[in-house]
Amino acid sequence: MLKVNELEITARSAKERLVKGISFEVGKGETLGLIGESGSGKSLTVKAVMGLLNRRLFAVDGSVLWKNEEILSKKRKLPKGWRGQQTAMIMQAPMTAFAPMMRLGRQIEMGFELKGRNAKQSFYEQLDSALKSVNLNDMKKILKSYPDELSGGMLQRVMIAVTLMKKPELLIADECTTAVDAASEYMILRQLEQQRKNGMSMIVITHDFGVAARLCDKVAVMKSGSIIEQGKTLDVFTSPQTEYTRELAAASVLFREGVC
Amino acid sequence: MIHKILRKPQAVIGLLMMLTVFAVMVFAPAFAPNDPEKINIMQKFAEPSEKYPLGTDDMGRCIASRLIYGARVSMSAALPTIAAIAVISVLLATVCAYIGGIVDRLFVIVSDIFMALPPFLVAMTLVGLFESKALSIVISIAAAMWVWNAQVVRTYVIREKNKPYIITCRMSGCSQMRIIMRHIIPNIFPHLLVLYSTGLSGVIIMISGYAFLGLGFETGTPEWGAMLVGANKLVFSHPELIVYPGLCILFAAAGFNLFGEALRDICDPKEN
Amino acid sequence: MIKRIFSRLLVLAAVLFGVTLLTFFYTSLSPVDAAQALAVRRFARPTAEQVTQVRHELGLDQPLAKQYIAWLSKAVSGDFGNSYNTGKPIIDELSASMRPTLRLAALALLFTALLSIPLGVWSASGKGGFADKSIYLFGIVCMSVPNYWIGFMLMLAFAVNIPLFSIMGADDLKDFILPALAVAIPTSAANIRVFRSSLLDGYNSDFVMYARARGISEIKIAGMVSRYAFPPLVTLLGQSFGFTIAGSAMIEFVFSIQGIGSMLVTALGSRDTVTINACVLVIAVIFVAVNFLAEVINAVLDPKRHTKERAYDT
Repeated sequence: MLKVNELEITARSAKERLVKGISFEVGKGETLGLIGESGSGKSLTVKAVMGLLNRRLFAVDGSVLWKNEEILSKKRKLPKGWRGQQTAMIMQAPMTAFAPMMRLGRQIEMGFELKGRNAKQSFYEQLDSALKSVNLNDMKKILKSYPDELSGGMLQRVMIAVTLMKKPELLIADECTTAVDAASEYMILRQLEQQRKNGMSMIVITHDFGVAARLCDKVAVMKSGSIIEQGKTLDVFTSPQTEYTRELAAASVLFREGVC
Repeated sequence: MIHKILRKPQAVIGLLMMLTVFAVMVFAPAFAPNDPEKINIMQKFAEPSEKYPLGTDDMGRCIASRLIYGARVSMSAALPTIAAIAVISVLLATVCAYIGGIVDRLFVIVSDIFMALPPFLVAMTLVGLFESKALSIVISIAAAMWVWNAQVVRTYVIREKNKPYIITCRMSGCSQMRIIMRHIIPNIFPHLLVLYSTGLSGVIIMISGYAFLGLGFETGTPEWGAMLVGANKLVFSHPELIVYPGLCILFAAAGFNLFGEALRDICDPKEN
Repeated sequence: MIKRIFSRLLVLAAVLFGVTLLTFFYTSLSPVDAAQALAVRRFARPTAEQVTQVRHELGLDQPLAKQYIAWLSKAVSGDFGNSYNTGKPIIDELSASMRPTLRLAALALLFTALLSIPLGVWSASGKGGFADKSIYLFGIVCMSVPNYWIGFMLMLAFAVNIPLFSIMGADDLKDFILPALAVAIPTSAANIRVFRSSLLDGYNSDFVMYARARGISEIKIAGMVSRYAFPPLVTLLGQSFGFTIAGSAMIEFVFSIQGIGSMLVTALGSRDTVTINACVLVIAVIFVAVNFLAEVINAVLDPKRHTKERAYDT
């Protein structure tokens, strides 16, 4: 489905190569984990894939093929509904992902085309069940709230619920459990597992080996802008080829007991 | 820091302009070809000549000399004013913001009251209250502007105060005074420099405004704003009498503004 | 919400009270004895008795506090007394001079908005480009000159060569174009900077990135960013209206407009304390009222005050 080939991202002002020619693939229904420490270029990569990078600040080279269609063309003619519909992203910092001065309901509505009262009605019904599936039961209250009135975990769950409503073909989860309380993390992971069962393709960015082990079919380990190791999750974890991967794994285990 | 300043062309240009103004201010007698206050009605509106490089004004006074001495007059009023503003606002804001609590709340309320007044109003009502006209200007402008500056300084101090390194200082037993003097003030100093250099250009303009209205300076003083008094009548006959003083104000104020803004770009590199 | 507005209004009322108190106090420190001055005008060479009589008439022999209360209670109903200078009721002259100044300030506000908003957007969208840099440099130049000098320059440029705008008088709206422009130019320079900065902050923030990730159209995103970026500009615009009125004296001198600025300066010159008090009160009320209006608008745009509270916060 998604083929990334020799992707290079350079920061124009600092003339620094931040992502140095990486390649990976995500097949239909597959989940790829991007593992690495902060600054390794994981977020930049997925933002480039989604076309979210400011072309004036970053020079992007290489090719990104989605269903054999080139995404990175200079003309920037992205396929209709590319962002939000075909692909969707969940962000790391839920507190800042929503505009602080608008109510959540209004912001959520903005991402959907609702024409006519029937459309609105069914939208709200869908939203209600989506929110309930992540254990957010009071839809009215959430819609009326401002972002700062909810906890990080709640906002993250709202993000997931809303994102999944559109049934994207590719979901990118950027460190979506990092800044979140344990209970929310549990619910989020449970949702993601469900989607995986439903056949959604995913790219999961994390520095947590436990999460990767649970969700991903294959992983790619990134360091300083390059992929130093790629393969099936089990293979990479049980017999890491590089020193770095070994260290990462060890550090992760120190924090979390019980890697499955 | 000095390196960064020297590398930015805008800062260097601003700095050079500032230094020029200071040089003219200090060495005015050396630069000026004539006595700026010497009236010579016979020579009024003379063409530029060797004796009068820029010609003469409506009272026969040498324009070039008046402009040069104008630097002295403007700056010798502006510098004490901005110094006074700086001292008052930094002292008050730092102490109140650092102590926090009820003192800070009081400060905010009082400054809200003062900020509800347009500064020009405050300054105008105070000018003329004192014996010495120069003092009037300094005090009235300082009284009008200190609040606005103090608010900004307060923001900086609060931001600095909450930084982790200050908290560690306090935990390791540093006295309040020491923290303020050794850490907070030196660290907000670049921001203060920005504030007061752009502030100085504002003060120069305000002072010229008063002179233009005839407040605060003796008539006939070679001050750039004062030189524009009664210029309505001369707009079309002798426009250069209006253009020259304005250009001087422009040069002086722009110098400080350029430098200040360049400094701001260095201190607050948010332009990403 | 209503409670907040109410308490804010109370604070503002207290502020106005404080303002008038301060002014009254300051002007009473005046070295010129108003009673003496008025007596001289009336009797040419007044005797001590006549001066005392005048003093009593004006109520200047009362304790200061009583004078203040008397003045304030009359002022509230619009009776500011008679000018020491002209002897005529202040309220007449006041309303006559308010008209031109208000028109000037309103037009200046319009021009400021018309200049600041598009140029701010242009600067931000072409960030770092030629337009951005030129606007920046030109802005610094405009901020480094007094607005009355710009007035003179505009006069020279337009009224001479192109007799489009008149340079004197205050009858037609046409007469106010040049002075309003002169006032608007320096103010816009600072505003553009602030607006550009807010816009850039808005577009660089996470919520815009996430909105784009959700596929929200650029138009809707522009709307979101506007709500984020406008409040500091609104505050500045409100303030500038008040500043224009307060500092109108200079531009009025240039264009021969008989506005409240000139009235105040004349009163200052002749130590006409009653007129001074009246002018200050009126100007302060307008200033406070317009700022309050700006606050209300901001409360609608940004109910949570999450965007920059003060315009100068970098």
